[in-house]
Amino acid sequence: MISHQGPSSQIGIWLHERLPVVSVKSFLKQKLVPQHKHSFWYFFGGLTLFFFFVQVVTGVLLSLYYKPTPDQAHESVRFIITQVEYGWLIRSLHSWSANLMVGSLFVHMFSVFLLKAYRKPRELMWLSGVLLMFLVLGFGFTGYLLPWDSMAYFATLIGTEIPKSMPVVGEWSVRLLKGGDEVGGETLSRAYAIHVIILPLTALVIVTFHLLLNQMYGSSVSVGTRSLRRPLPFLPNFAYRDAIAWCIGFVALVALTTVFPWSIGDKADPLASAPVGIKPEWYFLPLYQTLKLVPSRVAGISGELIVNCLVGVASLLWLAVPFIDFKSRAELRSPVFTVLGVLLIVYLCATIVLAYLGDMI
Amino acid sequence: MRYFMVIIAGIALWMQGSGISRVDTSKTDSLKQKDSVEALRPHFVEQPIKFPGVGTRMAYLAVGVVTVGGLAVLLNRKRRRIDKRLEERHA
Repeated sequence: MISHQGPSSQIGIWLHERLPVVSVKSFLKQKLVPQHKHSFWYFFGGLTLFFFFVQVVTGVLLSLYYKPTPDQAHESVRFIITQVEYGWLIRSLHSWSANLMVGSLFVHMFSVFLLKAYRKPRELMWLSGVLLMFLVLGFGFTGYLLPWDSMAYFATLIGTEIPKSMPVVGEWSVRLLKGGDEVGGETLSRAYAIHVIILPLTALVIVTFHLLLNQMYGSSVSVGTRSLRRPLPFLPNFAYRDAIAWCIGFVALVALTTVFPWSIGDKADPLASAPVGIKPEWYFLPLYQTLKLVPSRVAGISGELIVNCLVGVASLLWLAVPFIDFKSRAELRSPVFTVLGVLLIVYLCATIVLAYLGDMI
Repeated sequence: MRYFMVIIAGIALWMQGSGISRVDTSKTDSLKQKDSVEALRPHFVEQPIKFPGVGTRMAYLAVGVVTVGGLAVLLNRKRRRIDKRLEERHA
């Protein structure tokens, strides 16, 4: 049965009788995007998705040459950079896109937080978004080890020791992460499997869910914000704007890749001492710096345990924001949560800067 | 004699199972395997990390900026036309 809005070409009619293509298109056309002074922040979610697509494409290309064993991992990455045609470009795109994806994700998440876009009926969007943040951090943690150079090895050695202080699950979780007692071949193959299979499959499901909700409920307008103009249809008007934002993002990515190509350090030597100035990637620096700031023992309790518990509680509170911000739930302004959000952004930025300044002092 | 023959047969069967009486092809097998693996394995020879020169990389950047930037310009033109059509529809 062809609807009166159906396609006119033979192929279009054949497809329409077998796939609900026209229904999907009309579903997408229903979404309207509000236009107001904060509309600029709507682009960052799509930009994060774009960088994720770049990660998938470049990741698949890299996996054609990468070998996930301690003997061959480092050599295979060197092979990619030095021998494979445009290998250095694909590898640099993958590394820089990872950092830009994390940066874009944090901008998107904090803009949603400050605009209170987690209000009813978008609570599930917030929950799925925070889960995606944890997945992306997992991508970063597992991916960092794969080149198997000394920085990656020792950063992973330190990173996998952090959960050890947790009561009950500490030792077990560390053994699960490492695949044994030491960081070695088991850790590398585990990191590769998590990075290439488990996390992408999980991310695919959650991203689809997140986008579906976004399509159903559209973009939120913060309390007290007046719309400047009539809302824009997502398809095609806002979609063109999104595409332009993706082009700008891609140009920024190519600029970083060509001006600062991503290299590789010396091969990991588990018997050597840790290199001086070793630290994790910038998005783990707030945790790393907080651990450095807290004394090793506070009132007889391990400092690491205190930080781990604080981070755990903070993560749960962050997930529960739509349910504990009572003023936003009542469609009122929520200045307390705005101030808390700004303080958190300042703290995260300050710890990252401190971690880098610490090297220079 | 029969018991002695049974014992001899048992020892012979055990030696057969343990591979002592078989021809030792393990060395030649592993050599053959090594050849085929070597032939297939890419040569991960230690190469110094050397990226293309600054000029080449700037050329790549220029190509990227021109193609993707040009695409952005075209998309923007199309966006303006679509927005104008939308405004006319609502006017």
